[in-house]
Amino acid sequence: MFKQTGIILLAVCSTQVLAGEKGINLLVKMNDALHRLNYSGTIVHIKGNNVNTLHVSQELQNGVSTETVRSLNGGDQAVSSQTQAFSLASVPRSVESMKLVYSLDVGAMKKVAMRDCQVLIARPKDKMRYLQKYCLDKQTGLPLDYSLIDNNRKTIERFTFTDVNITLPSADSDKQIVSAGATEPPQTLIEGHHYVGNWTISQLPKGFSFGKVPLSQESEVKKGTDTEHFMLTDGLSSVSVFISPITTAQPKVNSAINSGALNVLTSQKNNHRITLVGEVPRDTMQKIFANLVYSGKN
Amino acid sequence: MSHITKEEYLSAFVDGEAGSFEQHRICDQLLTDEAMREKLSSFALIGEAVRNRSQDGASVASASFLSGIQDSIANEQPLTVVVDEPETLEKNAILPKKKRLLPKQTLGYAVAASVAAVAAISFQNYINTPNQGEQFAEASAVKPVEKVVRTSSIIPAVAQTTNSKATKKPNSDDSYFIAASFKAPDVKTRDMIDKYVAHHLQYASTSTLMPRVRAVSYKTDF
Repeated sequence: MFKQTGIILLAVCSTQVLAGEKGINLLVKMNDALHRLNYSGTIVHIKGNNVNTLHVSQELQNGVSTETVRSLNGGDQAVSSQTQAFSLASVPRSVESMKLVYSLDVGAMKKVAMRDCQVLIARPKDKMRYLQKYCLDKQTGLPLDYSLIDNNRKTIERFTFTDVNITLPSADSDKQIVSAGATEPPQTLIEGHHYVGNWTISQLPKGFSFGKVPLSQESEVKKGTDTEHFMLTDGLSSVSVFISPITTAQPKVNSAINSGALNVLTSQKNNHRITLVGEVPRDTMQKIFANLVYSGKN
Repeated sequence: MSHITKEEYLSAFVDGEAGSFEQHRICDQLLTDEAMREKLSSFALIGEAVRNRSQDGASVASASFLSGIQDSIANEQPLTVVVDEPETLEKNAILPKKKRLLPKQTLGYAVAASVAAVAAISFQNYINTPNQGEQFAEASAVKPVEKVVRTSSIIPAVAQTTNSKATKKPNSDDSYFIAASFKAPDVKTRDMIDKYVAHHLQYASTSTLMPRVRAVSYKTDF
């Protein structure tokens, strides 16, 4: 009896470990697909009662990825960006820390946009982050369906393709991506550090660490204002913290806005305006804010 | 008392309509009167026949019910308890084995699997449960804050703070933050927020597709 229990316990544990590893592999495959594939299609974005339909496309040419997202709900809302495509070299390296705060479960096969996809659930081990549910294209790993679910098991945001066309980039483009990824990172990144100017965080929320910020972005943020910026990430979710000095007397106002899973919080501390932006519960942001420590002179 | 009268009394007795005195009297007479006993038998038989006939209409359902029971009995596996002959004994010895869907060893594994599953879940819960000390620290950190403002909607968040410094009285900025309620940002703040959101979605997200979609959707929200 004990022997049998031992065997089965070992089998159960092994299965869980294997499921976790399979989940990690799927995440890596997804990240790779998002950067290396050509795709275009219609995506429905649901946030609470709001539904947006968008056309998305990504095309890789000469190692440069051009991504366009255009709203189909009228208006001229569109985002288009060109970034240097990169390969597995850029996949978050915080897999180990991610495993501390998420358990990855591989679910059943589903069909989204007439394509077979594999359900993958990143289940948070605490209430500091959202549950993330993906359905990844079986063939390519591209996320065809993605939901963020809060602590009350309510879906707060969902992206789902209604139709999609996926093509593999040409062999030349692929070679260029691989060589770019192998030789240098896509952008000059500033290593994450605990001190930003006169500010530090006394204790980070569990699983979060300082993320790297592109140098170009830092200079852009600072443009015209003396704004410090740092980023925290748990591997799947991230929070940006912007700190700028308050130069003129103004009433202290705490403001907060919300758009699907995205929360924005603004408040003041030590004559500085602090803005937190991220896809985490507001409680997590408040915890980060509470742990911000100013070491300079007011 | 004439025989006819006796018959009437007897009929009343059989139908349960005789009084207690009459019942006793008839019983005494039955002990000695042979003709009366025969009459009683006749009445009882007639009564039984009449009752059976009156139940014929209602017995349609009963018949099917009965046949159902009979069918069930017919389909029932023979009992293994009655063992008279060695041949029967041998058959009965085989029957329980036929009924067992899984081998005994499999059942053992099933029990073991249940135990293992319970153990695995318990172990997982144990691993996932935050440190007791941490929980205690959180609980102790909550109380002073709760006393500051009960009306604030953001108390739970601050209450979860794991920072040991949170046990100290919060500084003026913190307490203001805790006490204040959130408001919609003014136009100037809004512009600044929009810029920060754009930076965040462009650079701070861990994937590419969803932040771009968010960026467009965000513009349609406000």
